[in-house]
Amino acid sequence: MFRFRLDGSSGVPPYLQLVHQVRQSLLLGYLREGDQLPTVKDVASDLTINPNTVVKAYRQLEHEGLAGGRPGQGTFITGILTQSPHDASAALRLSLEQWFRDAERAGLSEDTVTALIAVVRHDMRKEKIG
Amino acid sequence: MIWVTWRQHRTQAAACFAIICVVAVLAVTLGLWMRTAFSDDGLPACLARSGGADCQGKIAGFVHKFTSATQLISVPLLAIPGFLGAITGPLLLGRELEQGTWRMAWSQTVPRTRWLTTKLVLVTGGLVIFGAAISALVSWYQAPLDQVSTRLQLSTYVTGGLVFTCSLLCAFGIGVLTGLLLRNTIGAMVVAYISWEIVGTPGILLSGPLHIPGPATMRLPCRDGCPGASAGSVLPATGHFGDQVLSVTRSGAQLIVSYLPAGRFWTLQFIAGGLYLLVGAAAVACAVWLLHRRTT
Amino acid sequence: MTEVQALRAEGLGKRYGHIWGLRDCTFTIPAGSVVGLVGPNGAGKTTMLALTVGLLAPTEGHVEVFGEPSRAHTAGTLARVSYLAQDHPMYGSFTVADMLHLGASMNPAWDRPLAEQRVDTLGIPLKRKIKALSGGQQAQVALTMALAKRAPLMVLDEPVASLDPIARLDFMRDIMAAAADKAITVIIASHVISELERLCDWLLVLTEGRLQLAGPIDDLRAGHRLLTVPRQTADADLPGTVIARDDSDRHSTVLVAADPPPQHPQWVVEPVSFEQLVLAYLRRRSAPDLVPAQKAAIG
Repeated sequence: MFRFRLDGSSGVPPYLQLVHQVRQSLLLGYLREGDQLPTVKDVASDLTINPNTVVKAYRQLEHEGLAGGRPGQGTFITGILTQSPHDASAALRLSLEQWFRDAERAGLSEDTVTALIAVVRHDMRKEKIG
Repeated sequence: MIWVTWRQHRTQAAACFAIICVVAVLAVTLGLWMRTAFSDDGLPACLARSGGADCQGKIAGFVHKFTSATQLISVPLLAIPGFLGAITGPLLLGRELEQGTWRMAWSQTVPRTRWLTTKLVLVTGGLVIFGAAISALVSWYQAPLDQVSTRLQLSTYVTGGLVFTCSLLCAFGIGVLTGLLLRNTIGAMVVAYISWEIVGTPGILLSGPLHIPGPATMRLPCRDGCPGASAGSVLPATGHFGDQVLSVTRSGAQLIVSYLPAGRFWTLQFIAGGLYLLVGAAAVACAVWLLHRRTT
Repeated sequence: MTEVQALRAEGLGKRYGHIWGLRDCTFTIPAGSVVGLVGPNGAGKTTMLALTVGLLAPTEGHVEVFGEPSRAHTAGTLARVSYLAQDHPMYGSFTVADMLHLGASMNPAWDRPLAEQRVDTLGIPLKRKIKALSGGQQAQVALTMALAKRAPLMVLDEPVASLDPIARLDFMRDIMAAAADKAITVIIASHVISELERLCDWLLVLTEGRLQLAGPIDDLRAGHRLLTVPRQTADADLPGTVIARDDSDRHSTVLVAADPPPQHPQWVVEPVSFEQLVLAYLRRRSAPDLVPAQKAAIG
């Protein structure tokens, strides 16, 4: 059975983390259509979180058409993510390499680059919560 | 709830049962021995024939033989109401408050009135059974001796009849109250025992064989120059076993006998028993009121 | 749609002698919530919970559980709440089996298989006396009794205060499982804020006997913002209510209760974390110069 993880320090709300993990697993092929997700009770107990958080995550997945509940049986994967992971990351990798070259040309040190990445990531996360 | 009360007082119940067994063994042994000696000495026949006047010597011998033996059992029994009451009382409610377990007990599904009533009724009932058993055993083995001496002396007065059980319940009531007055259970037991000694002992003395109501008087004609009849003779001056003669004085040609009639035994038992029960009940009522105050 | 109200308090107050342990508390908790009751030691958490359960009588106001006053003390009202007191009192001379028997004897709706299975899973010997168990095991036995009562409202007063981290986790695991299972309502009093964030969806903040904050956590967070403003900005110029303000040389960080979220070209507007929110309200009445590092003293 699929198992969730929780990163307490990431700043991302727990229910979103659960949704992301399902999306990621679908992309990477760990989850397929028809697979059953663990029950609300099992997740709440396993991760020691409020069951309503899990309910929220499952509802979000239902809203995105990725999962659905079958009464009396549980929650199952109903959809797939159409975007091919391989194409997307190949394109992103190229643009990342380009960006590093640009940064080097602009005279940014490695430490500055690392700090910049951390700041932007932090700010973008905050945007998502707000 | 019944099981819970039983489980909480299981040790005391076992101790009481052990005491009854010990007393029973001693009582049966002593009682059978006394009955054998009683009939061997021919006392039943003598009593039937002359009311004891003919066999005073044998009676004296019988009484002398067995008085100390019976007192070996009955004197230790005098201490039991105080001890047992002082131990059981604080354990009923005081310990629950001391250890905070009332918070657990009162958040189960049993309403607190039923909780309290069950505890009180069961423990009181157990004490009544214990007291009745002891009193019955004592009365049984005492029976031969009672036929030729008075029941109005302290040791028999307190252990036979109702007084034993009622004084036990009184001490218990006092213990329940001290358990609520003092925060410490052991301390409450000590205070309960001391309080019992203060309340109970005068109670016994006052309503017992000594004072209330006053002694009766009998005037007897002097015969043959009024020999012999003294306060200490085996057959009481009143001519009736069971009476306790207090004094015999000579007045002209008459003997004035001051005595406590045998029939007064049960009157006194009821008075003393009733007073003890009243004090005990009042103590428990105070305790319940205090319980309400301390837990609100 | 009428929501079932698990717990309703109105103007609830309790006075001990001349001191008010709790004053003027009003809140309504919907069924199925997991409520965190936060406050420093001595704030009145135990008093509030004892009033909820009916162990104390209110000096003023009233409190109802599923529509019935807590002080009714009938078997019906008692069956609906299970209570775990702070020091988990039990009869020390009883064995674990005896305590479970007590539960069965005093609660008609007792779930015997659940109780026995739980004790077995936790590896607690049935024949051992309560006083011979470790603190963690005692807490678990007490929780087992609270769970096996099958009451729709569970009231837990600092249940994990004396437990090691592993025992704590096991404890909370079972409570979350119970909350998921039967849609029971749980109230957990604690002064450890960090744990409550992921366990609770409803919040009560109590300081010095007064309720500072009450409501669903998501709504509360949505109704507050953390503003970074120029130092000279006055409180009056800020939207909503200023809850907490921290001034440095050039700028100030202000936590405001404002709905809708404020906007201003010169301000940075950020969402408030659960911990920031709770700490701000906890500090509201006490010394204003308490710095964030001191949260360890509260936590």
